[in-house]
Amino acid sequence: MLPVPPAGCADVWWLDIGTVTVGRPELAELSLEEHKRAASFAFRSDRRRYTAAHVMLRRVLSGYVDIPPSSLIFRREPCPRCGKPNGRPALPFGYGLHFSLAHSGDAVCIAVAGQQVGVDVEQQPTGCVCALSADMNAADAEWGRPLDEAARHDLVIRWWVRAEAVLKCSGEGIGHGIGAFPVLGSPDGPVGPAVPGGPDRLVAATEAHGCSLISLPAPDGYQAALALAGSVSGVRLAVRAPWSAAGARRPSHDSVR
Amino acid sequence: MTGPGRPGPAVIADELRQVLAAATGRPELAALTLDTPLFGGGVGLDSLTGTLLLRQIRQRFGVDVAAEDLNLDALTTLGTLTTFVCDRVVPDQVVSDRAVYRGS
Repeated sequence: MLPVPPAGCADVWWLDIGTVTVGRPELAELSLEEHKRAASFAFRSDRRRYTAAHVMLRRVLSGYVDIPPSSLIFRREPCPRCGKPNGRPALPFGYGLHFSLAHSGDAVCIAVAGQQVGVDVEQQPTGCVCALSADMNAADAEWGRPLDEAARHDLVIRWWVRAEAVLKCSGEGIGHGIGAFPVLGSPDGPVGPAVPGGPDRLVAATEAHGCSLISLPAPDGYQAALALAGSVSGVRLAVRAPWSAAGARRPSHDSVR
Repeated sequence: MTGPGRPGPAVIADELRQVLAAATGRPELAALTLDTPLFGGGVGLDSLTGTLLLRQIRQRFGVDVAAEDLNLDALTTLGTLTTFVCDRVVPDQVVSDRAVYRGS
């Protein structure tokens, strides 16, 4: 069984759904609600992304709590701002394990931590995203003014994944304002060597909205960010399944096929 | 309700399909049926593409869906969104240059 990451640490699992198929054994691990949700998608690609991501989520979490993937039960925490039951998805009380799931394009990213955690990944859109500048925090929007259009598009998506990671960590919906706090400005990045047998590396974090925020190394064409609740100078990051091998690596179970 | 210079539902729906296809980078959405849900299944829009869609509707039609529909019920399907935009669009504010939302 995998240990729950200690304070200030997070495990990250990547999956390239382009490398996997989901068959009957995997579908049998999903709940009735997940099956209903999967069936509601109009397009096969969305259905496939959803099912692969949730099979992967169940299998990853199973490795930490020693419960079969199909037996895991999820609950929804209340939003800390409005109390509606649409906050962070969570395991039942008592596990001391927190997680966050994000998917976009072919990429699925799962973050696991011993404290509230939020992760987001976005495939760089092919069209113009400058319209989102209107939603940015004013301080963050300033960073885009001197940039050319391509660089501004990168910045907007970098802002988005960082801001959404913070909101997923806090459990607040974006309806409460994704631009209410700045998430850009302070550069963060690796500040220490890999720790043998432990977390891969220490990444300097930026404080944002009560969270410690880092940009994650992401596949080409994607951007990703991770937020941990509370204030730490750096997040110890362990990439348990890197993108290049994610299709073949899982904890204690066969790969998603 | 349509009037002089005001685009009808079919035109608005077609424009919205183009906005959706451009915002998501998914050309198949240009043929979306009116009864297809936009979130929680259906098209499977995520928060990024949903927000981008709202911003581009505001640019294209001068309609601020989020400000006028706090529960975002208008975003249930393409049909409900079409009705919402059609009822509020001001002809003078319709941006005729599609490059605004085609990102070109």
